Amino acid sequence: MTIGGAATERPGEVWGQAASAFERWSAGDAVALDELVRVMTPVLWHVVRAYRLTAELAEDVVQTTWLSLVKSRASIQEPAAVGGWLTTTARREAWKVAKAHGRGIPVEDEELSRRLPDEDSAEAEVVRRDGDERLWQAVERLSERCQALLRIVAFEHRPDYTTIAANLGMPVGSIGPTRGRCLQKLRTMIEKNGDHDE
Amino acid sequence: MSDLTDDDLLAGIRAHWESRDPVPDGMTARLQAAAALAASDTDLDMELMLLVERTEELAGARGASTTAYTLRFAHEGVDLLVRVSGDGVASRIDGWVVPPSPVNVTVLRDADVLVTLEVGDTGRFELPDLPPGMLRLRLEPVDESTPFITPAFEI
Repeated sequence: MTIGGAATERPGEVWGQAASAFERWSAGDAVALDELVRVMTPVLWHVVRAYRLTAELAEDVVQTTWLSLVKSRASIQEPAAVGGWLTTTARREAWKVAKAHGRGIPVEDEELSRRLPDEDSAEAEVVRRDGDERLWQAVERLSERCQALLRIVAFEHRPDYTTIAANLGMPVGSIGPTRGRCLQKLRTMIEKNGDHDE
Repeated sequence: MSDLTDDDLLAGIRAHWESRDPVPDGMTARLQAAAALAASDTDLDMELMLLVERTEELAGARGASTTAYTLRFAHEGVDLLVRVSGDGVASRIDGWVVPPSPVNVTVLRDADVLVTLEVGDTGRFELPDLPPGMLRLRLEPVDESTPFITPAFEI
């Protein structure tokens, strides 16, 4: 079976489109900036929302990220680096804003959240396919910490663990193992076939 | 139901969040406009027109199945009025350059040119059959003064 499938582009492809748009923009094509913003804004949104910011704060953070890019464009020598530059900048800013607002990702070690899955909207229910259903319920039952880390890792292309560690307040060496444990929990829950008894 | 790879799981996680917490409506257009405005200080070869007014037309004024609104962009004494109407399948733009002057209009979607047309002394133009989506208009005065460009807007 497939899960998620072609509905959503792989980060590597998104990064490639961003690099191409950035290169054209740097060469003087003002309109290529629109393309860059269109391609990368969804990634930045998901990365920033992992820090549990409100929609308004998250949009502010993404806007700040774009304004920083415009200001710092000359410092990005390699177009392929633009995706990582943007996500790193967005995470740093999100972390700062989350701290200032007393939000952010809980620091306790990940454990399965005991709450039931949130009520879904009717539309969300309709678009789900069988495979997604099980995976999505499993995602919702992960701890907030696992959800946040996996959301960041899912949308970024080869994320830099050093900066993720810094702004998730985790030791660098623990990011890789935590990622693995969170994915394994997800896999186990799916294979238990959506069993709600925890 | 076994052998789910990390990539399968990560793809599913993306699909989950794209459905449960999608990018808010209009956010991409707002950010495109903000980035373009910030960049216009450094893009000396192009003047950015700012959106100064947006007017919705009452639904039903021209038949229930169409929607229409008017945008006014301005920069240094030049106004561009754009009336956008559409039925969800194709969109139509009626434009007026004020004060009227001959310009070449280019319709851009990302880096692609959808249409170009020459506008005469009346300053009026129409683009009757455009695919819905985000676009920008670039206005190049025929006297070869600095071109103008609008922020991205949705048709």
